[in-house]
Amino acid sequence: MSAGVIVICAVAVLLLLIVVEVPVGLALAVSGIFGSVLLEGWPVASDVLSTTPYYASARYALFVIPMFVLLGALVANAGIGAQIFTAVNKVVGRVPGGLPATTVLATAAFSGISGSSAADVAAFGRISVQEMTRKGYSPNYAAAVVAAAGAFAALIPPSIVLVVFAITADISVGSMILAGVLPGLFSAAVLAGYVVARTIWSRRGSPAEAHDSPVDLTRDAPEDAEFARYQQSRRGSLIGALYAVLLFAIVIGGIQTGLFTSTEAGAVGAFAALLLTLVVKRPKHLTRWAVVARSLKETSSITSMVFLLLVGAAIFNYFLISARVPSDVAAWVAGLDLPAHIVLLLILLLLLPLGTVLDGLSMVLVVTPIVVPIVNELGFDPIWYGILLIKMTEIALITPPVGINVFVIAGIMKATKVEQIFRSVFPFVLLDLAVTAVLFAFPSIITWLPSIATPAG
Amino acid sequence: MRTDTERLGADPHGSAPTEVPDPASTPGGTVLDRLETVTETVARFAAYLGGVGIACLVLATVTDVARRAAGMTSINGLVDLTEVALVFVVYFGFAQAEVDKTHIRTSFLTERLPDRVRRVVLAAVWALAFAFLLWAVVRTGQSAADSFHAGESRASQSGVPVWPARVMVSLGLLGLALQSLMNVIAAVRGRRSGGDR
Repeated sequence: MSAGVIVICAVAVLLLLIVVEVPVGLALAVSGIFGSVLLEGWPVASDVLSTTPYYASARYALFVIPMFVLLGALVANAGIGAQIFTAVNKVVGRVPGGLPATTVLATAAFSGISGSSAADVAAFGRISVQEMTRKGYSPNYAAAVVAAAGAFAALIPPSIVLVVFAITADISVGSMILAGVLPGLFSAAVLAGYVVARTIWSRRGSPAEAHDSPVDLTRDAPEDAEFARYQQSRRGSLIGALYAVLLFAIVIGGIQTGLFTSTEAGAVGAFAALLLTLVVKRPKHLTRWAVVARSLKETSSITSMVFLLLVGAAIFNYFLISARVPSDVAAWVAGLDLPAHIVLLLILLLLLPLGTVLDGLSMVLVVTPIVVPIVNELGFDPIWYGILLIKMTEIALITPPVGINVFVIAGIMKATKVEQIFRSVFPFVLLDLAVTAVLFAFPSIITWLPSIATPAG
Repeated sequence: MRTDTERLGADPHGSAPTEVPDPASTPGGTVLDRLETVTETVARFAAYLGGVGIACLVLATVTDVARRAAGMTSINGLVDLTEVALVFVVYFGFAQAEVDKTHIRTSFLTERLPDRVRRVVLAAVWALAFAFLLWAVVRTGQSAADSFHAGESRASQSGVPVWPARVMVSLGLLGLALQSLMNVIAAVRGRRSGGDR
């Protein structure tokens, strides 16, 4: 059997396992070993299985992942998300489209500390959709705004996907994190502008409903109305906003100034979140210990999820490299009689159908080892292209059938159907593609911040 | 589609999680229910241990940064220790991530299948996963034994031993294998294991 046929068989096994509900990490491992058995025989495949789970996990650079996850879990469990939401709402809530804009900007602020796009959607889903529905927005549109905001915010550091790309592509994690800042903020600003413009357009001629009133959290938390009142109070909102700014400043400021490495930034950020969790006001039914214990258990579980993907991808990528797939593809692409920019654009567009079966993180893990050699071969900056690649995985977060953000928000809002949300989210997919085109055309939006950073010693 | 997010900050008010009744404590509780309860309890305990490990690594790293900021030397061997400890943290949570259904998967096809077909498919794929993971447990276990006999340690002055981490890899995979077995049993019995129960 030729290597090409074996690769096709292994990819077929991978897709088959994914669609029958096998965890993606496990599916990658099984199909990678399956391919290795066909390509190199049982002894080699068996050796890969015995050593890869250790070597794919025991890497200092990966230590940043549990740190960022812990940081996000502490913030989420302490109920800070609602405080950030009300803080943003106090600023933009009264403009037309203020509620969807609040959702977008609060998600951007929260994503700066949570590290997970789906976590952002989960954190703001209930409040956002309930409040928007109350103010007359359709539930499907409200859900689509939340799902899109989570996807648009995926670039704002600390993002797990950014870290995983950097490690897989063997480039500086710190540079990659900094590279995500401006495109992330730009994406959030474009989306906020779009939802405001859309509201003004749809409400023209009806001045009575031209403004969104402030949110009221107490209606949704009658069992702990006192905490909800605190969350939406001026003081609670201010503390929430300060909390977000402080943690973002520690992580990004620390890396930017070279005070510490990206890994240490994650640890210092998580430590600061831990200290803040111990001093901020919390829900009545949760002790400080309960917030910390729940966050630690979640962090352990989510870290394991990410690492199962990493281990599975390492096994699968070993197989791909053994089959010479990355080098053959790079050589084939280099031999194409097409301008380099067109080649890179075509690769990005090819990622779209892949996003219909793989989630963002899995896509990054599978595609990066194949794509980065091509980018290097063509003489482009892998950091620039990495951000574009992650933008495409963002789109995968809101496209059927594996749009995780849509499934998360549909799970939170039981009354809305996934198919209807996917329909409502379509304009946001087009908007995201337009933003990606701008980033493609103007690379300095991505590369400027890392270029002025001071590397940690 | 199930992801981590049902658990990660799903409620901005931080409201209490819904309590799931213990099947083993009900009159109809069976040996299999008890087995499920035991495996899930062990998985949860291991996840908490992993969480404590993460907290320790945070404190160690922050201490190291503070020492450097104060003009002192770095903690000797911290990077080596962190790498080995990271393996413990990761594999302690493997089984719990399956109990929680945190491992990323897609159910868009299986949830459209007739119940009987779906159960057969899930039982078959989880049986395959169980067999694969058992093979991985055996191979990583052999690797751990080799590492122990050779006295393998980090190739630096710290000399941090590696074999405990290799043992942990095998144990973590065993935990995931047991959860796969529980998924087979759950599919055969027509119910979902873990977080979906």
